[in-house]
Amino acid sequence: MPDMPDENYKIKTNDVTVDYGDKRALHGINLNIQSNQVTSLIGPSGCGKSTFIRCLNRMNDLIMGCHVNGSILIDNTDINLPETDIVELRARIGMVFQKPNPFPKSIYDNVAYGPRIHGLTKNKDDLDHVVTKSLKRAGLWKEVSDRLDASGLSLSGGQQQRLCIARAIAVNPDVLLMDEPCSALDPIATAVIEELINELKERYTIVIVTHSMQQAARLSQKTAYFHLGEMIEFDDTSTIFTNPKHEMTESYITGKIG
Amino acid sequence: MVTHINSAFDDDIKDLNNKIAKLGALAETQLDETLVALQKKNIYKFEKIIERDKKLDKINDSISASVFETLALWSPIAYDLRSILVADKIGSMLERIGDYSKNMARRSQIIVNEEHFETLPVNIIGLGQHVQNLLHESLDAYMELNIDEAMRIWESDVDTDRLYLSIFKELLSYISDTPDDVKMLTHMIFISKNLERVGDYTTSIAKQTYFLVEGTVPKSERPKASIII
Repeated sequence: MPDMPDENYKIKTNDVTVDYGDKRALHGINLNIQSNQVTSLIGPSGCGKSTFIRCLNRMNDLIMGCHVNGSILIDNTDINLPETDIVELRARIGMVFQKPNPFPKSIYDNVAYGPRIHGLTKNKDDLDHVVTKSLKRAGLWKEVSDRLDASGLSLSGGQQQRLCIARAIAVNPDVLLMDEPCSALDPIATAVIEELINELKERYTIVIVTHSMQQAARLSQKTAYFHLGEMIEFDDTSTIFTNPKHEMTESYITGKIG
Repeated sequence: MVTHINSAFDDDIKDLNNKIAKLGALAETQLDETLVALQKKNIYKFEKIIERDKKLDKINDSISASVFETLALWSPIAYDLRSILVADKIGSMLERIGDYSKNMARRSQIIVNEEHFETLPVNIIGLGQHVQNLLHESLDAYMELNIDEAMRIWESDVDTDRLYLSIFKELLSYISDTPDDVKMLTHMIFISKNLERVGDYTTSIAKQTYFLVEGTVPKSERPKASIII
């Protein structure tokens, strides 16, 4: 793959290792992620893809005994520097999880929560505007505009996941990390989220962990294959799924043993 | 042997490969019997060859149906995807080779009893045996995934072109010399052309074999000879 000028990469990781106590979970990951693209991380369970994605907004800080080494640059700034404001970082690098996790609050308050605590809006009108805009971008506005006071928990699974996406984008992030965002959803809700992700990449850099090969193939421009804590191959998604260079990648994506 | 975790997929691929092997064997038989019947002026054999072509069509239809179903049910990728697409293409090529044999059998029925048929020293059989060997070798290379052999076959099409061109020129000269035989000579030109086309298909099978293994088409230019004068 030809090298790109450094400035075109939103995220640059260099020799990232992660240890959980004395167990090494990631071995020197070097992965550069382009802006406004969807990058998929695939690999068997326990391969380190979720561990890696959690490094990108320092979610691993919350895990006792977890040590991250190497450099992770986002917009050319090392996010592991001591002076990094973690709260501000996690607003810039939003995250959506496997299971939708709306707050036990109204739909409106779920989305307004981030802008409120980060002081991003000046007044109620401003906040209303952010909530409306975020729900529209998350493709949920038409379904909930007449019941913003209803509990977020009253929505269907797919709607709840889109509410979580609206909540993440309400604080104006640059990057969205998604850890198996559709694995708890039915095929229709999955298709809606996938279409949304495809639209969202125009504004955000998206990194997605998925166990669905078809989802990675449909959604992403770049795909990385992880195995036992190592990144085995990283290339254009079309190359990974039509002509992978590494035998381990080929075996994994085609479901082979022996 | 590397197998898929889901063995039902392996079974489908095996079934598809068996059909290709069966179709390949029949295409070889059709070509072989056409050449032998032409050589021996065996008028009765031609009817059998023409009739048997339906079998090839049927197997190819069955290959297409299997390909369609496998793509829909398994969403194969990488080597798996290539193997299915290549099987579909090679199936179609073998069916076309069968069509050429049938066409040659029809033309042969007309010419073998012509007065001057046996007196002409035109080496159509030689061209036929040349492409017959290529067909056998290209199918072996495909089944064994032998890309060195596939590349050799791919590059050897120029020999077929040269053989065909020499026969074509010879037949043209006979048309000028013996205009009364123009009907027979025209059929012989078509038979030669059909054999040249079978040769083309063998190089296509070789090219598909290369694509199947490497995931790309051969980068070099294929040596070619002009077949038009």
